[in-house]
This record gives sequence, structure tokens and C-alpha cells, in this order.
Amino acid sequence: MPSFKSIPLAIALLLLSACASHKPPPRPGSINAKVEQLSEMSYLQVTDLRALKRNHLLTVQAEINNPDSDNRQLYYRFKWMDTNGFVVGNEEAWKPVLVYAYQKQTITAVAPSPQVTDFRLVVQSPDNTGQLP
Amino acid sequence: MYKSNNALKAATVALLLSGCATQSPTLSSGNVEYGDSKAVETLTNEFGSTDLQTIAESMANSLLQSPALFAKSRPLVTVAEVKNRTSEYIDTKSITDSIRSKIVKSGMVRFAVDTSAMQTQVDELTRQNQTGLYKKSKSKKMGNMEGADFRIEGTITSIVKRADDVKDVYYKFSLQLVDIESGTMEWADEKEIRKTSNRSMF
Repeated sequence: MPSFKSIPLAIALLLLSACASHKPPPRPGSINAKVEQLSEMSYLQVTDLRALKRNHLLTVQAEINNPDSDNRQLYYRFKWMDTNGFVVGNEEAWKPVLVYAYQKQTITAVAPSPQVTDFRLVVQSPDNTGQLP
Repeated sequence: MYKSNNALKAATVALLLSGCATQSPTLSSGNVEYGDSKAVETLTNEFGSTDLQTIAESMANSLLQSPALFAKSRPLVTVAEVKNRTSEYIDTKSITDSIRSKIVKSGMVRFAVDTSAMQTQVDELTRQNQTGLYKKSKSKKMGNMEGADFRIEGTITSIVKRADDVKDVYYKFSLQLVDIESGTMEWADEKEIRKTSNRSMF
């Protein structure tokens, strides 16, 4: 019969191990360096991300892949930054997008100002069962 | 002695707890709280804040990529009416105001006074020039207003369908950019939104 005294110890160890699980920081230039997930998405993946200046404004295109057999909901918005890392403009509105089963959905956005040189794609899916990134 | 020791401990704990409790700078009945104005709102099927924000962002993004706007350096644009052809009340001026704010912030386009603000503009010029209250050298002259190069106009329409407990609303927001001198349409785009609600019996 297991001792009841050992249960709190086991819980404490479990909590400590959960706190200690760190992911390595994303490589600069990788997709993960530009994507902020509000809790890791279980099904949807950002599989492609490209940006270029068009008419002096940074234009971004992201590809969201749903490898699952069910349709999945995604909420997203962009954060725009200048060369010094300061956020440009107000926060964008969250936008809903439905990604069908096995679909690759493309989303595009244009920076609000020519000062923008960098961006972050903030994504959130209600189907989150993963750990916080 | 023992009792006084306990009282001392209780006082210490109370002191520590009161030290931890921080006072928020709020005055609240407990029933009202601030939310995220940018959150996705799906309370009802009717036109809502997320629809307005999504349309404004989508249209501003598309317009800022229009080659017609960049053929001239910082062209002058005016906003005409966006007609509401839906079955519900929608403040279309609020949508065009949001689109205009986003485009102005880009610094790529200038906006001329539109018809709704023209009376205020005329009143101000008249006050400066005809009341005799202002120094002639410091007042803004009549007859120097600039005419817009382009006009933005559009419509919003909706199709509403009901079947049993399902209500489906489809919105289409169409916007176009017209060259005022030539009368040619230089850019047009649409944003479509579908909202479906299910009124379950259970």
C-alpha cells in the first residue's frame, strides 16, 4: 500500500518538473521566431511565412495547414514593429478564419505604416491541448 | 503568557496579509468589467464590432496595395457615401471612418474634407475671413482648397436566410475608388462575411 505522505511530494515534484520544462528559443529567421502561439495549437500549423515590401509597405503572407480530418477554427492578428522593435500602430482586431479539414489556408496582411520592418503573427485556436510554448 | 503569544502570532499574520492585499484603482459594483475591444464578438448574428473591424482592415489593406494610388505622390482622396442596403441599421460612416484612419496612418494618402464635414469647413473659413476678428496675414485664405483626385464609395448588402432553427446572414461590403476627373473606376474590392447561428431547443 503506498504511503499517503508520498503523494504531496509526488505532486510537488510533478509541478516542479512541469515548471522546469523549457523549450529552446526558436532560431532567428525561422517561422517560430515570427509566430506567437497563445498556447500551442494541437492541430493547426503555420507552415509558410513570407514577407516583402510592396508600395513601401511590408506585406506578409502566412500559410495555415490543417492536417486533421475536422474543420478547425483559428483566430489571428499581426503585431507590427519598427527597426527598434517598437510596436507600430494600435493593436489589430482578432480575426476569425475557418480552416477546412486537410486545407492549406493563406492569410495576408499589410503593415499599417512604411516604418514597419518586422512583424509577429499571433495565433490562437480553441483546439488547444498542448503545453504553453 | 501562552495566550499573549497566540495573539502576537495572529497579529503578525494579519499584518502580513494586509501587507499582501493590494488595492486596485477601481470603483466598481462588481457587475461591470472592461473587456478586449479587439476580441471576436459572436453574441448575435447582427452586424457587430468584429465585422466592422475586419471590413475596415481588409479594405484598407487592399486599397493600400492599389497601383492607382501610387501612380501619384500622396494623392488626395475624399470619402463619399457607403449605402446601407441591408435590412438592419448599420452606421456605414463608422466603417469608412475606420478605413480612412488606417489609410491616413500609412502616410501614403491625404484626405480632403468630405461632404458631411464641408459645412464646418466653410463656416471656419467664413469666420476667419468675414467676421473681421482675425488678422488678414494670419487668416487662412478663401479659394485655396484642393479638389480630391479620387473618391471612395461603396455599398453594404446582406442576404438573410432562415431554416428551422438556423439563421444564416451573409454580408457583402463593396468599395470602389473612382478617379474624379476622368470618372473611371481605378480600384474595387469586396469583403464577404458569413455568420450562422443555431437556436437549439435544448
